[in-house]
Amino acid sequence: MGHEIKVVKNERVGEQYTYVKHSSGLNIYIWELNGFSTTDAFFGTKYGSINTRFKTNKDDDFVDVPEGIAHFLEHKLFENEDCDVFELYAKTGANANAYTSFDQTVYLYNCTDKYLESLEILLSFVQKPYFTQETVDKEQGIIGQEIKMVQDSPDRQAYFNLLKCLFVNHPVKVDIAGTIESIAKIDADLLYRCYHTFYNLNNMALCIAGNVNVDDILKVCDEQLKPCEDIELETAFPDEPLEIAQDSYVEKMKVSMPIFYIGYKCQPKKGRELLKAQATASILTSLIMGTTSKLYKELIEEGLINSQFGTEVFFGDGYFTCICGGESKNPKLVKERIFAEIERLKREGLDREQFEIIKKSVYGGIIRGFNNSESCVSLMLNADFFGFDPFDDVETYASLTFEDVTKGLYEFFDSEKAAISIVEPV
Amino acid sequence: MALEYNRETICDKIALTVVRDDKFKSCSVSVVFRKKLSEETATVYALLPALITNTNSKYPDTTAFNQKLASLYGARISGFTSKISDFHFISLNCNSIRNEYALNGENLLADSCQMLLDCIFDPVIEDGGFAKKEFSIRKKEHIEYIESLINDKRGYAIKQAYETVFENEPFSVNSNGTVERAEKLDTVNSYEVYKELLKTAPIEIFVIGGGDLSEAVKLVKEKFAKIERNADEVSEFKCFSPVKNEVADVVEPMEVNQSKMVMAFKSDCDEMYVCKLMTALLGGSAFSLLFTNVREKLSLCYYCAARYVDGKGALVIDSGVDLKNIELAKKAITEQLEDIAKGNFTDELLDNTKLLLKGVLRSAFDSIGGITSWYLNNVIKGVDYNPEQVMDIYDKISREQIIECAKSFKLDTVYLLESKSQKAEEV
Repeated sequence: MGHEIKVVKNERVGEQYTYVKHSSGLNIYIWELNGFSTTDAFFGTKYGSINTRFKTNKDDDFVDVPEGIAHFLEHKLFENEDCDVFELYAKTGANANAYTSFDQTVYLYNCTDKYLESLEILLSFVQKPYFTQETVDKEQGIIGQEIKMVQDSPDRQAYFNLLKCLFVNHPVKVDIAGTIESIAKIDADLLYRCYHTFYNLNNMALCIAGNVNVDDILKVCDEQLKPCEDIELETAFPDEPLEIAQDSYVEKMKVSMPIFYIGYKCQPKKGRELLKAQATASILTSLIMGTTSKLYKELIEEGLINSQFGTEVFFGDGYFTCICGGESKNPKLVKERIFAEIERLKREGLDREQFEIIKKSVYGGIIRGFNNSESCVSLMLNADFFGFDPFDDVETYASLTFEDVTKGLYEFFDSEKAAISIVEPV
Repeated sequence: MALEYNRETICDKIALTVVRDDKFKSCSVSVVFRKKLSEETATVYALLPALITNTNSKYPDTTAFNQKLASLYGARISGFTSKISDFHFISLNCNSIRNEYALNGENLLADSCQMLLDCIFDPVIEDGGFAKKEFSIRKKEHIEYIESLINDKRGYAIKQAYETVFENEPFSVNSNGTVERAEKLDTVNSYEVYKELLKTAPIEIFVIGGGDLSEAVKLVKEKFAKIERNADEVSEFKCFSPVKNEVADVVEPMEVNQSKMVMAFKSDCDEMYVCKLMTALLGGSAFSLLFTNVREKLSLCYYCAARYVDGKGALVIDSGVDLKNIELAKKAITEQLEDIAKGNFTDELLDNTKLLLKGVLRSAFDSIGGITSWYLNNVIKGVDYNPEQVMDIYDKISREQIIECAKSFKLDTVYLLESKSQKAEEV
């Protein structure tokens, strides 16, 4: 079969992977890691909890489906007509799992033996949906317990409450698992409809890293992959204003001290712009409030935060935010201090020397990621879904300038678009 | 396979293990202290890692300390405590990427190793104790950390259950200690404990990673060979927990949506690997009996998992269940264990469970952390196995051994974190 195959090498880090555009429409990435026993494989679709509105060339208009359906589908795909998928993996010794995030659903396994047999299982079951009303009903019970479990997680509640503050309409504000009410609306027909829309090989990627051989993998792929026609998939989101929905949200739960998240809503990005924005924002959050910053030291010494404090740049299709969070006796004061520090930095400027140090530290983190097969596969999958090359990350950081970061300070940190979510003790 | 492995004693009960494998792009140094777990010392030992790994005399300011680590390409210095059987372990580590990746020829491993050694041997001292400001920050943080254990309901339920399961045994002590004990700690008494720890604790040191490790090895040896020692005798790892005459039932009500149940069974079965294999067959995988029956067939829960507590002879099963289904879940869980005891499981399930455990063993040497814990566990358990040897042990375990093992487990404790939520009643 005619595939496009290329080996991509990065001189800066001395690593390489093989990219294959398979004739079935699937993007395949293979990273050979010498000396390791473990193989990790991810087979994913660009389909997550936010994709509740879509259209293909078979639909007249956009379709809306219940919240939590991508995650529900992930659970149900593990059931074949004649057996449970875990029973198949049990015979190869692989450790199998899956996850659903805001914008992807990924089926994965890791193993140290018989990786090709496991690959056959992976490719086969993901392409073979089997849903009945009976099995759907049964799953409501299991996922119902999963939803209750996460409702008891104060950290997750605080995080989603922040997203509800930042976003007016975008479905990113809804928990990935949906709600007890929304999953009650799911039936077998809806699952098939979502499956046939998003589980199209043109919308998917296969990434494998470890002690593997490219030709052997392609042989299994040639046998297993069923060519997919391009159905011109379009996803859509409700209009989202640049403004936030509300600037604070407080919930009470059984916690020892208040847990908080503070977030800045920024203009969403796409493609190259997204890559650069993500690197810029990530370095900026470290410069403003990371463990090497002046503000971090002050907040720790004044007892306003503890070592649980952390930062994150959270982004996807239609959203881009800078978030920090942790535990504090006075989260509102933490917010005021962050606001004030950002104003000070806008007036007085960032520290160029610190910028160079943070850049080095990020580079070290990227190199560290090449130490294991799982981080290599997840690097490749994320890059593919965002439309980058896996090594673009390291190159983007390397080329980032102090001026880029200074500009970002004004772009990403607007206090008018910031919100705080707090979970307080009962 | 590793290019280089060496273990040697460098001082009284201080051993150094060096493993070089060039597939790794980073290197780490870990120093692990071993003490008996006790109520009196647990809190101060748990506080020590934070006191030791955030500053040293060369970098007394935490920000300068963190900046130095960032400039070493994001090198890390950290510490934590853990318990295995009736022992408390205090680990202090540094980790850096290999020198070959430094852009300006920096000596990353040696520099970060030196920083760790400075933390250990040259902490910031004021008036005969740890520096006051830093101490009060870390003490406050540690108290907040102990209090925050309630935020994770699954972990909290297990911690609470262990207090009853292992009542009056060292293992019932939380390895983080207690708020009451933490309140009593000061800069001087904590420093005294630390000095005593350096003198008396058996110490295992690991230098593991890719590239040339010799400089780090030299630095470690120079420092540790010289310390004044009066080390503890190393006592037996196995401290089996006696099964209660009557099953203990504990109910703790809380405002939560989902109830959490923890069931503990105990046995005097001496064959650790048989117990581990039986536990995995019962509830250690997505094809185990608990997963396929309690979760998939009965839809009672999202998680229902079994673990074997090393050195204690205890099997612990935990699950998150709706309050109205608790009795059903308890019955179903008990039945799975009984089924194994009656031999109601297929040879295929046994073979597949072995395959899974062997796979985990085969990957043990694919991470620096995995290698560290492999050799540490060998030392703790007084064995000298490599992963292949343990794979052999699993292969030879028979169906009859699994049945006998399951028979030997008796129910000891049922702990329930009981949901009091209105919402839980409605659904």
